[in-house]
Amino acid sequence: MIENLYFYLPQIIIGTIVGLFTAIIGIFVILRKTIFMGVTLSQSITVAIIITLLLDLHFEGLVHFLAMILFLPIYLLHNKVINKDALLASGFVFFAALGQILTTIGANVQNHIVAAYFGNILFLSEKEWFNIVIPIILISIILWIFYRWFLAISFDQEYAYIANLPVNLIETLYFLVLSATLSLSIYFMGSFYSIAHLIIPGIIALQISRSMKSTFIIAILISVFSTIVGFIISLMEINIANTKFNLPTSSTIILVLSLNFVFLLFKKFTK
Amino acid sequence: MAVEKQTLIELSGVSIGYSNHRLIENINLTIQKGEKILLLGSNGSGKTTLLKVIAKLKKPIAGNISYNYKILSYVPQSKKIDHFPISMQNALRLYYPLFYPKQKQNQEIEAVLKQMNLWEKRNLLLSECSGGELQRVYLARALLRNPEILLLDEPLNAIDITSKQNFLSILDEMYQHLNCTIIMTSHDLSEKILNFFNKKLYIDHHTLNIIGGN
Repeated sequence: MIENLYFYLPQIIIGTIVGLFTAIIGIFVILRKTIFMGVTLSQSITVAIIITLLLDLHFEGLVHFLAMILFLPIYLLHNKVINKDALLASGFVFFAALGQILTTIGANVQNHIVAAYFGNILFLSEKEWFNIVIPIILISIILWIFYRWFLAISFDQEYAYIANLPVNLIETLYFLVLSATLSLSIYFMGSFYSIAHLIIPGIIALQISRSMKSTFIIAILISVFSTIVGFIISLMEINIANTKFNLPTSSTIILVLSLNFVFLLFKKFTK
Repeated sequence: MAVEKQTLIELSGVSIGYSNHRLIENINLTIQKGEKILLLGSNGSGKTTLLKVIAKLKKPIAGNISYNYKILSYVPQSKKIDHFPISMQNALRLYYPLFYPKQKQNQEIEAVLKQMNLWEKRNLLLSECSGGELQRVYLARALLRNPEILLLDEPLNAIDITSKQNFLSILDEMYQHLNCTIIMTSHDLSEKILNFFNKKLYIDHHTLNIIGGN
């Protein structure tokens, strides 16, 4: 197991980094009450990944670009329709159905489904690991500069207009950061991992923290802890009735993350 | 000595609402520097929409508006904040320009929180504030911009009598200090409130009526 751990160290580091960035962005998503939008966006990114897999042009930049084009009609319409949730739900099922149809069209269907929904970090090449560097640097810079204004539009967008903040620019940057982070996260770890990291660490942190700073720190710690523990468990060989097998990485991490949430609920209800 | 009146906003033939449902029609109104205006009307009559049109947050569906002010600020209706772990003083920092010096921010926030009698509670989370405290935080946030026009949307709703009196005396103090124009919506017709304002507007049957002036 230790040798495995050493062998998979780069993947563990990458999984941890994309997880923690998704958790950070997730806090804004929760504060802005746009969880459904984040989840629908993640489905459009999943479709973009399937398209790039089918075309054998699987690189992160193209995934992000395609996902933005796919999601653009929903993004432009969501503030203009009477029922936002209905539009997002329709988008969600549309992208889920489109993803399934596309994987059926392509050869090697099973692998495509597994890669898009559960990630395939353990099988990505060394060259692909470095796809993370530039997006993460750009996301970090935007977050560092615009952190306060992202909070401002999350807290009271109308007042941001009154205070003459460049709300449209902030909104665009926020959407770019959200979609770039999700693209990265889904590209490496899969759609379910990304949705789980987008929501669970932030929800837990917001329940127990008393400042924005501690909210971000707690969410990061939960994300990092769950990713590392989940990775380690998935690398352990399990032997049941003389059958040896390993648990899938992304799903194990999601289970650890969910257990944190269950633990928090248990603590709250037994207080 | 005659004081020269400066027109800050002029609405001519303005209608507000939605294309299929007009809230107020044909508004002709001049808002001048230093006026204290009370906007009255029943629920859903268009008070908040009119404030938003004045604040450029909404467009009118007909008519012309000329804006001659530089800085306007807004105190929204008080909403319960239950999911945002942010303290009073940190909430006031959010709307500063990106590279505004931190030391200057601190000085301004300290001054305005002291003016609102909230300095001792500066680290209290907004979710733990009472209705009256939350209104004063919003007023503090609005004052940080040194506005020429201050819009207040039903600030006295859901606060007790003591907090109302406290809020009005702070508003009066602020008015004396800044000499800004105040436009406030309210349902409250108590004498103290009516006496505070020198112009009263009443929305009735989709029409804006002036029921008292200087």
